[in-house]
Formats: sequence, structure tokens, C-alpha cells
Amino acid sequence: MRFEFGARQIAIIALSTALYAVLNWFSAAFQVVPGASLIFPATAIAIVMTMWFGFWGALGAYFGTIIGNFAWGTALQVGITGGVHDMIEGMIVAAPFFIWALRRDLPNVSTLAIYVVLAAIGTGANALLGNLNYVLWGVYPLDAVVAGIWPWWLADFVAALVLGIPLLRFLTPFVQRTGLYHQHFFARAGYEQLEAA
Amino acid sequence: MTIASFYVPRDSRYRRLSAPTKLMIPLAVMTAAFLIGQPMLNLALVGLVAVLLWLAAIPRSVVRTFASVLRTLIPVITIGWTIFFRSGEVLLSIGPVDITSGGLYRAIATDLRFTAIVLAVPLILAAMPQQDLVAALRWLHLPYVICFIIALSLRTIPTLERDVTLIRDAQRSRGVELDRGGIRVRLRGLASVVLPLMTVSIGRLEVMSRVIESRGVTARRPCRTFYRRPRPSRLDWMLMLGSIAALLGIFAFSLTAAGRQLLS
Repeated sequence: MRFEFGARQIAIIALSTALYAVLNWFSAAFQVVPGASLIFPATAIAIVMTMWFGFWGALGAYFGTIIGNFAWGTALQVGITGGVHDMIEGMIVAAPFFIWALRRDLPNVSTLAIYVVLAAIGTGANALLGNLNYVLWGVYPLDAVVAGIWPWWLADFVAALVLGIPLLRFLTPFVQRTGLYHQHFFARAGYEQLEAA
Repeated sequence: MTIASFYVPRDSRYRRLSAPTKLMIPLAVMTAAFLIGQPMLNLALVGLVAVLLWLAAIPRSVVRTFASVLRTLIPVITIGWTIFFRSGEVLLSIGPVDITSGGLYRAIATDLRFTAIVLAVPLILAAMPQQDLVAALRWLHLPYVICFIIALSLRTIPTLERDVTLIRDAQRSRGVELDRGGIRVRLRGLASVVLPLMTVSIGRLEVMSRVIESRGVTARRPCRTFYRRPRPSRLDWMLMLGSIAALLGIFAFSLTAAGRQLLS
């Protein structure tokens, strides 16, 4: 497996973390009732950064959850376990694009459809695991999970569509022109290209 | 108020403690809150946090910012436990919803638990600058790369916030509605802020990676020196070890039959 960890990856993780933490706070503007937001913009960052930068972008979502949630008064312990499902969310959407070498700027209907389906699955998995994480730390009981999943899933899925699609369509060519775009899940380029560089 | 602006320099005995102590005490309180499920003990923990906030001379405005989180959290917790948890006698029936004594007890205990946790956060973020927080993490032997990533992220957040303000002002000057209008208008407004924000951030990313490389952060054999290292005094050691001992004591007690009865 191609693996690369250096200055670029550190910068990617740090920026993803900061972006995730900042956009985490945006969701407050879309709260319909206490605790339920219509959109969770940080989800789009987790997905898009993982699509562009593979595992390192997802790692940013992990740290972003810890830092962003902590600054909102959530216990560090809840963030440490909660970051894992936010990371998984982006990876569920991005992994098939890396495995099947699909174009990540969603140029046609088929890639767009794949993205929408994967986003639905990824955000659904995140909503389920996120609610279970809350049960683990005693925020609410197990019976409340069924009710808690839907607003969570809706907020994440709306963000993945409303922000994720335009970000991928408009900015992927721009990111590809930089030396940061990751061809592989853990590295920018293959061994041959890395050695040549 | 943002993560960058929580810290307000003040002088107090608590503030003069070393950074690892100021990190470990609130973390011990947060962990203890998770081990205790008894409302009166959770209330005592809230009282302890209030005393620590007073000792740390945390400004009321900062405490109020964090306390505002409870306006969202407490209704979620209360509804979650009272409606979905059924145990003990039924106190009130509203249609298909039964509010039980067990559910109400759990709701009050959890509300108080998260009140203690939320109010303990400013003891970390407002009692020491970010550099001290990162130095404390390093002192606790968190890997250097992770400390560096956390430090860099914390430094980047205010920059991004400035970018957001600039972009919002620029979009408003073009007539984009950001704060008013229906949900569709606001979603479109959000996209008009996030897209330029990402473009600016990606542009900055390349510079950041070059800076990291040129400073030798990823060097194979680093020869690092630190400007300032935390130097815990005897009092710091006593407080840190005392916190750990108290936490282990609560944990051990929670495993016993008497502990289960008293703490939950």
C-alpha cells in the first residue's frame, strides 16, 4: 500500500481540523429546535476533504470533532470517540471513489448518482454511530436512538448535497492543479512518481 | 466569542499553577462526572466546578458563553431520558408518553452531570493560553506531531474566522442575503460563503506545507528544543496526583456493591 506522511499531510490535517471546527459552529444558525439543526455544514468538509486528500482529510474530521465540540462545551471523552464516526462518514463516501478510480469532480450523472447514494449511506452510518456514541456517554438512553437518528441524518445528508456537490464540482479541478491532491488513499502518487519526485 | 478568544489573562493562585495541573484537574472532574450518576453527587460536582471557576478568576462572560450550550443540551437530555426511559412508577401520562420516576431521576442526574462537564471546559480554555495547553499535552507525552497538528489547527481557526467575516461582508456588499430569508435563501447564502472560504484555504495549504517542511517538523532525526517547558512545583504534583488518586478511588468504589448503590 502506498503511504506518505510528511509536511503536506500535516498541513492537510491541520487545515481540515480548523475548517471542520469553524463550520461546526455554523450549524447553530440553522437550528430549528434546540439540539436539532437543519444542516450540519462540517459534514461537507469531512466528505470533501476525504475525497481530495484521502485518509489525511478524514483525520482532520477526527481532530476537528474533538476541538470543535470541546470549544462548544462537550466533554473531551465524547469527542474522542465521536470523532471516529465523523471520520468514518467521509471514508464511506470517498473510499469507493479511490478504489474504483472514479472522477471526484462528479462530471457525469453516474458519478453524481454514486456520490448521492454513498452520501446517504455515509451520513446514515454517522447518524447511527453518533447516536450510539451519545448512548455510550449517557447523553440519552438507547430507546431514544431511533428518534435521534433522523434529524442527525437529515442535517448531514443536506450538507453533503447542498455543499458537498458544488464544492466537489467547482473546486476539484483547482485542487488537482495543486501538489496536494491525493491520487491514492494514503499518498499523493504511486511509488514510481514519488521516487521520481 | 471563539476558541481563540476564551483566554483572558488574570492573576490568581489557580492561574499560577503549571499548565499540566490546569489541564488535569478539569479532565479529572469531567471523568468523575461520568462515573457518578447520583444527582446529589453531581450537584456537588457542579459546586466544585463553580469554586474552581471562582479560584481561576474566569470572567463571567466566558462562563456565560459556555453555559449557553446548556440551553440546547438540557432540553435534549431531559426529553431523551424522561420520554424514552421507563423505570419505576409512572408520575405522569400524556397520551402514549409515560413519565416515570426512574426516567426523571436519570434526566436530573444527567443534566447535572453535563452541567459540571460544560462548566469545566472554561477551566482549560480560559485559564491558559493555547501555547500552554499544547505544552501541557506535550508534557503528558502526547506525540510531537499530534501536538503540532493541534497547535497549528488552533492557530488556523482565528485566521479562518477572519476569512469568514471578510467573505460574508464581501457577499453582503454584492447583495447576497445571508441572515434573512427562507431556508433556501439561507442555504444558498451558506454555499456562497463556504465555496470562497475553501478556495482561500486550499491556496493557503501549499504555503503551510512548505513552511512545515522548511522548519524541519517532519525531519527524520529531529533535534528539537522548546522555548518553554512546564515545570510543575511540589503543589502541582500534589494536585495532579491527588486528582488521579481521587479518580481511581471513585472508579474502584463504583465497582463495589455499595459504590453501585451510592453512585448510580
